[in-house]
Amino acid sequence: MMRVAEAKLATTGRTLFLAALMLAVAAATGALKPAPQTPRAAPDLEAMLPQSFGEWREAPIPDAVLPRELDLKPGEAIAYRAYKDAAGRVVTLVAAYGPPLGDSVRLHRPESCYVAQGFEIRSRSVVPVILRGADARIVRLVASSPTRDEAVSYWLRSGPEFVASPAAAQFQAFNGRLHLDGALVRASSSGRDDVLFDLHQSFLADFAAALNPEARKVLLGQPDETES
Amino acid sequence: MPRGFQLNISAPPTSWSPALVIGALLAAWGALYLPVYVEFAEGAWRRDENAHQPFIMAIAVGVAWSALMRGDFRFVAGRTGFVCGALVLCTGLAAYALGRTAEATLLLSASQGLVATGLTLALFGFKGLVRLWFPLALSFYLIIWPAWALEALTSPLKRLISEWVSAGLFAAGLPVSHAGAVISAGPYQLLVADACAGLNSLIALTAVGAVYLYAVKRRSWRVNSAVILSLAPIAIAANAARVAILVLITHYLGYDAGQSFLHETAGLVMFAAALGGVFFADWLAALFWEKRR
Repeated sequence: MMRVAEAKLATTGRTLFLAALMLAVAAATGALKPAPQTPRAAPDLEAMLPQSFGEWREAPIPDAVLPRELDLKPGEAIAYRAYKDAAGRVVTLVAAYGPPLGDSVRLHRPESCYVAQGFEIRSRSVVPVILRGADARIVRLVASSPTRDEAVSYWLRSGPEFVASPAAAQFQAFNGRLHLDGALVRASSSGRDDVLFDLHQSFLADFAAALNPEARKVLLGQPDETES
Repeated sequence: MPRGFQLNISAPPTSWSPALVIGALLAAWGALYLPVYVEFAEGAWRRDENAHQPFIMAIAVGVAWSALMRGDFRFVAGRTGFVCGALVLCTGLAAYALGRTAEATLLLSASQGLVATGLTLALFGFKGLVRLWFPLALSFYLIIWPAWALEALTSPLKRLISEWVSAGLFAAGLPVSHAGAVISAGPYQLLVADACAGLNSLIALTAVGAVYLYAVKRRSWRVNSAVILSLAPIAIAANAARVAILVLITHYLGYDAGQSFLHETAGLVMFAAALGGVFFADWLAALFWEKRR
């Protein structure tokens, strides 16, 4: 009977110790936790995309593979454009922005978007490029369906960095780089020629060069004061 | 005293420690997780793939409570159990702190199981842990996986299901083909979406299957493992059947019919059929292995 009472006492002490530990963690994280951010208003991507840049002029959007099941959360934005150059070549552009703490932009990753719509990713490569004087990475994809091929080039910005895989973006978050917003800029054309990727590269470089400071911040993550 | 240390949670009211024990733990749990659950209820739990989680949690709590309230639950942790449990709890709290401050939902949701396991071990020892293994194992279903991890799991499944369905219907003489997760039936194109690929129902079905197994308490491990192994194939087959039915509806009745209430009804019917399949597998396995005992 003695031992039962002792055990009860020990358990009570232990329980209070564990409960105190939990309460301490709750209090500490409650204090550390950033105040719930009310998402800033989504950037007006439609207004930010230039109507023309370099040799490119805005054109009606052709039958392009666009993200489906769109359900924008607060702070998110997406815009579509098609541009035509003097030679009549058409490139479809998708620009998307996701506020910090969302994984929406990673959801719009072209790989999954195309695969979900019946395309197969035939090839994938990452090329380093310089956009407005800053190092960036562009992912090139060839996506094929039985009826058509698409050449796709995109950059995915996660915070200040350009990431080429969703796992890399997730890893960033564990690496002390929290609260990253993100943006996706995707150029695509019908076909699978390597020429198209060169075209995309100059298209994207011209596009980046033509962005106003606000759009540059949203899509490239370059701070306002950086004049390249 | 052969049973050694004892803790009787349902002790007579003269003893104040059970109330204190339970009250302190509930308060601590509430302080940790109530704000999290409020957040989840507004976000993560509203998404299809996590919608089952509050129910799983209710089942786990109910099962754990009834186990704790049984008269023969008199376990107290030894020193080793307490130290090990405290370590697991600290791991869980670290995951919680990181998950909460870094908004890493995966860590935050996974911390529930660690905290609960650590508490169980620290208070009731290894024997108590064994007794409460099932509700603790259910906490695995409370993990909220990031979208890209789920996607890695669903997209092969989507392709596989589209492939089987189109191959099967084509063999039956219908003009059906597929490309990726898009099935073409005559003039119609159907996109096999995440929801249709049945990952959501697959997770929910394995949870229901696990609860069922626990509830019927068969003693043969062979029956249990046979049923557990049958859960995923049954769920995938049921979803393939569902997609096939939707393709057939679309083919014979038109696109609008395939997207109407029949879409939802087919899902419910298939979930019920899959559950029936699980019971059937259980019955079959029991027939096969429990007779010999």
